[in-house]
Amino acid sequence: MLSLILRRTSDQVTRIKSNYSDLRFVLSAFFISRLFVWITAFLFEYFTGGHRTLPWAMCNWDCHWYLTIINAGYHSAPIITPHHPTSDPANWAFFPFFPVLSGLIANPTGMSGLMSAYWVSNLSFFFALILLFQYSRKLFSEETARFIVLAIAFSPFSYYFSAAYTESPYFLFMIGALYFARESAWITAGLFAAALTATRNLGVTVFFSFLILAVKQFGFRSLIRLQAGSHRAVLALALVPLGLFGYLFYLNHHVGDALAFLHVQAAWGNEKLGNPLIVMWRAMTEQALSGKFRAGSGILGILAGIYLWRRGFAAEGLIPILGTLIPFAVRPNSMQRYVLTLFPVFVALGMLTENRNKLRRGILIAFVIICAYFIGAFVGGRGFTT
Amino acid sequence: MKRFEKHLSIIAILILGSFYLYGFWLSAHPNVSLAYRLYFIEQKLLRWSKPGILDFNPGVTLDFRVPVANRSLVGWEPPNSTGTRLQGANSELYFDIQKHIQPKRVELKGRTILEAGRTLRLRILANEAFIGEVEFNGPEWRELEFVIPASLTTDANSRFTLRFEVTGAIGTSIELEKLILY
Repeated sequence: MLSLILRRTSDQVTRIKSNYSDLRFVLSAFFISRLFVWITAFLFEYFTGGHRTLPWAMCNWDCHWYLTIINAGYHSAPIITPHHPTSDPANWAFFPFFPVLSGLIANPTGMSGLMSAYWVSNLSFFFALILLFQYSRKLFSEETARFIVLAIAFSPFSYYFSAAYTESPYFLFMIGALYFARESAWITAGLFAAALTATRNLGVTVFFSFLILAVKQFGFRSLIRLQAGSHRAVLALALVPLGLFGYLFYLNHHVGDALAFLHVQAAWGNEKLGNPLIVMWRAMTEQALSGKFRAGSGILGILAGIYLWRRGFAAEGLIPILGTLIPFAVRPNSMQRYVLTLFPVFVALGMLTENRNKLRRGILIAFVIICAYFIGAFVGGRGFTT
Repeated sequence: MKRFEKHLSIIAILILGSFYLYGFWLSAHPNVSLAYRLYFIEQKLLRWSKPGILDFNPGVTLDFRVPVANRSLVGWEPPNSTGTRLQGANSELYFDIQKHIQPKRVELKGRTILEAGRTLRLRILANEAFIGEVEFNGPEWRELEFVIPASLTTDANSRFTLRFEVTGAIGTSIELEKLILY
């Protein structure tokens, strides 16, 4: 599975290589944005009197959970940690594909778990940008495609694409899944989707996007009857939950509870499933500024999704809509990170600003300034950045 | 060739479907300790109890002046690990009877602080079966004993639950100091 994903991704690199200026553009966007993130993080750590090395300065919150998996695997029982003085968590909430990929780099090279996680994160981001450019180039003008790539590379939460978090591989597998589904390369799309659901549980939302694209390509009747080559699309749909169920089977073997990744949420607060709109309203009206920020990010995600849907991109529009409503059904935490790193949000932004170059420049400048502030806050351990 | 590919796809879809169905079945049937079930799945315990801590052995004593691992998340005041006062109808204690030794008797020491002439009633249920009740009408400590009928059913998770229901004066409660289960 991994080799097919790598082969198909490298095919896209080869394809973009044929147009030298496109490759140069994506490479520039990647390197300049990553240098910006790392240099800003270093400067904040240095000028605020921090004594951590740069990799550790960029390793906050969930990064430490991923490191426990990369370095020692999944816990067999809850642990006692000073970060959770009133509860007993375990690392089962964190999906395995990102730490597994990091381990695949760390083990043969002898690299530390943290450094290997950064390699996975940054390489994934690079390949994701290539796929995003190819994807956008097929649907929009070259200018818009370039703006979408720049907007996500310098977006306020783009530092997560260089952190030891799942945002980059999640971005790569999601754009890969949708790109190849649109190209009718359904088996490859299905494998990207399986990798997506092994990276984060919310990846299953891509099932509905696949369904929309498959119905568009084959028609509902042909799809049901497996006619006209639609069996590949149905197989791709069946492949979507493979990563999630693979993890379920592992947890059942390791912990005795296939749903341990859900049940362990009890250690992060005993929230039950609720109405996401009510949770969003409460975050907006009852919580401090960070709650309003989270709710605002969610609203932005839903609006972007609705806009894409209305413009004929229902498959892409569903992702921020479901990607907002499902987490909000539990709690608003980390909403801004979940929503504002989803590529369809930036596709919507690109479409909204079509032929408005001044506005685009203004947005990019604003993004760079906000991103710099957020990087500082993230390095400084401010909760609203996660 | 296309026909062969189509048949291969159908077989793969069926295999994946079976795999997912088995996954759903496993999800509905966790094979975990009572401590895990109570803390993570049912979210009834305040803190994780290491396997073994909830085990029932005849004569097991709970001292409520120190944190009691067996105590339910709700129904106890103050709402932290040293809660000693029973509240309403949700105060529960859990024991793991994995060894299949059925508890026979429960002894407890409790009291309440009430205005003169008022009473507070305590009902005790073992695995949802009523085993006795007592009225409190003064602040002195009382030592009580209840017999647990041998006919009690135990759930599939080998859980033995003692539930305390307090009815009567609003704004006050029964304070427990010690409980022994034989």
